[in-house]
Amino acid sequence: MLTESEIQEQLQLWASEAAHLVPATMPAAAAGRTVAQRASTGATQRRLRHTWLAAAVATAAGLLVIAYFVAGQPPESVGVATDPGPQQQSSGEPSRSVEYEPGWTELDPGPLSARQGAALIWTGAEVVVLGGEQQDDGAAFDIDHRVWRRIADPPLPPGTPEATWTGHELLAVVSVPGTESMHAASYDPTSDRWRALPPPPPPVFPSLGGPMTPGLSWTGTEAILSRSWAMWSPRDDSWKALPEIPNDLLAALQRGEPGAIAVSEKFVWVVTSTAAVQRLDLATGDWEAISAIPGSGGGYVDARIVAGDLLVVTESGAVHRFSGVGWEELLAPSDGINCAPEVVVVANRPIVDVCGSSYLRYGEGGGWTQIGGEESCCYPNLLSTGNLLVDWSSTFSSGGSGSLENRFRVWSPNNEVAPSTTKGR
Amino acid sequence: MDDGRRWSEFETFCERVEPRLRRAFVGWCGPELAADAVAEALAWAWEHPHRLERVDNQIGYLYRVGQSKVRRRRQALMEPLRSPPDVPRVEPALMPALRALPDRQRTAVWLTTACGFTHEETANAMGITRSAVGTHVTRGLEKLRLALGATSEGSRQC
Repeated sequence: MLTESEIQEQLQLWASEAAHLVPATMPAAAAGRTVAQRASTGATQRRLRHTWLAAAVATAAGLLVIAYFVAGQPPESVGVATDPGPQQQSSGEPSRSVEYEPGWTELDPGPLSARQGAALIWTGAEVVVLGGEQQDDGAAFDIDHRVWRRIADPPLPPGTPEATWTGHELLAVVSVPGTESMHAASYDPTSDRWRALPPPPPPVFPSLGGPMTPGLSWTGTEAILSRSWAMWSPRDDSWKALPEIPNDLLAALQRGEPGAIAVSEKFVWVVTSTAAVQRLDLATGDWEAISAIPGSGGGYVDARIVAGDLLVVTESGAVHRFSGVGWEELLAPSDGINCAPEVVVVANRPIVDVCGSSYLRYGEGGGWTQIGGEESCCYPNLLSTGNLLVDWSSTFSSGGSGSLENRFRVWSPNNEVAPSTTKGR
Repeated sequence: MDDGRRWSEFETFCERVEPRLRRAFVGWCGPELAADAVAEALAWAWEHPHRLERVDNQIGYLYRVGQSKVRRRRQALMEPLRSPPDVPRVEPALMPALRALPDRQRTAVWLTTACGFTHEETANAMGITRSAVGTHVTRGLEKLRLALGATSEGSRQC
């Protein structure tokens, strides 16, 4: 039997020995790599990696690259690839990775027709736009290389999907409007193939939350389908009911009273319009009542897990955070919010979409500041990649009287890979 | 700064961070891809010296750079590289137990306990708060203890 300190020593030994399996990277190889990426194929990169000669080549090539960019960098372009899927890109093409300037960047909205009710899913490399009220197709946008590709048609009917990323594949559920018919499928972006899954149980809650309440959430081991109060396990591709919900919550949600469900790694949180909050421990199946949201009672609620904490917005526009010991009001109605906002998290800080009029970002030391010089529009379809705020929406032009048009843009807090602590910020 | 001095400083920098990155990445993506992740991170450091200067937590930051550069290939390769490789002389039950942890717990335990990252470095590398790192490490080690039937005797503070 090992002691805890022996476990730690074993882990250190493991790391030490495993690290010896990795060939050391020489400084010259690292420096050479940056130019080799721009100028050569993957094979050339590998030849250069472990030679000091690479440094000299890198310097010369670097000067050429700098001269090229100084002379006039071509505008950043966006295209629809014929088939640039992840497998091709992993072999080294296309090679040009682009970063995003601080603020909003307008992008090509891609190959899909305008639609409402599409789902946005972040896979860690691509933003997938899937389905719509009357559509069943989808497309994926490579965020680094700014390239769209159409994805294979899913074995799902048209409809607004509830979708999540499992770390391996995209899981999507579509319900046919007006029926209890539900369809599920999973998509593997590396092979661009869909796999039909058994149909989920029919919905038991008629209305749940707003845009923050995910229909489908990945806990790390299972997917929770909130409206059906069911759980899908990838181990056996099966759906099963979650543990029974307490009667008072069940009655409220089945009556159609406003409610929200949020899913974290360990808990499923249920929030009702009367501000009562309970959470289900997924490991034990036990329910625990949480103190009521202060100053709230009745009306719309929405919820999301942010950095492990429960974040709840209410009809008054207040944003509350439950961090395990109590509630903290992050945004009060007196701050000028007169509707229930949506909260997303970018670069570790909450950003509030103030109901289609502007964005507020929560500062490191508390307090909110307005971000971007441009107003949001018409209840955008938002997604966070962790580092970027993504908005892919179809909205009516000419102030609502024109045709439905797609818009795609990202907002970046900076042009880095996601620093959470930098000096001078 | 002249080229010679910059180069010398970069070599010193690499000597300091390269072994730590190698150890961290081998736990994230296995030995083959770890070499590329380290090279990508250091290449970024060479190419962006001024940006790196402004970063408080360089090792955590470069870990994320390397991750972002090779993530697609890791996804393509998937299962074989999802966790550290088997190594002789290590308790056999430890590997499956570590692999069974949720991603965040496994990463937090690996970086802090196996790689010696501070909680701040780990927080920066994972893009989460220090308190969340503490939670993941505590829970992850607790699960390892349970899985291995270990005792808490001799436990150390992270």
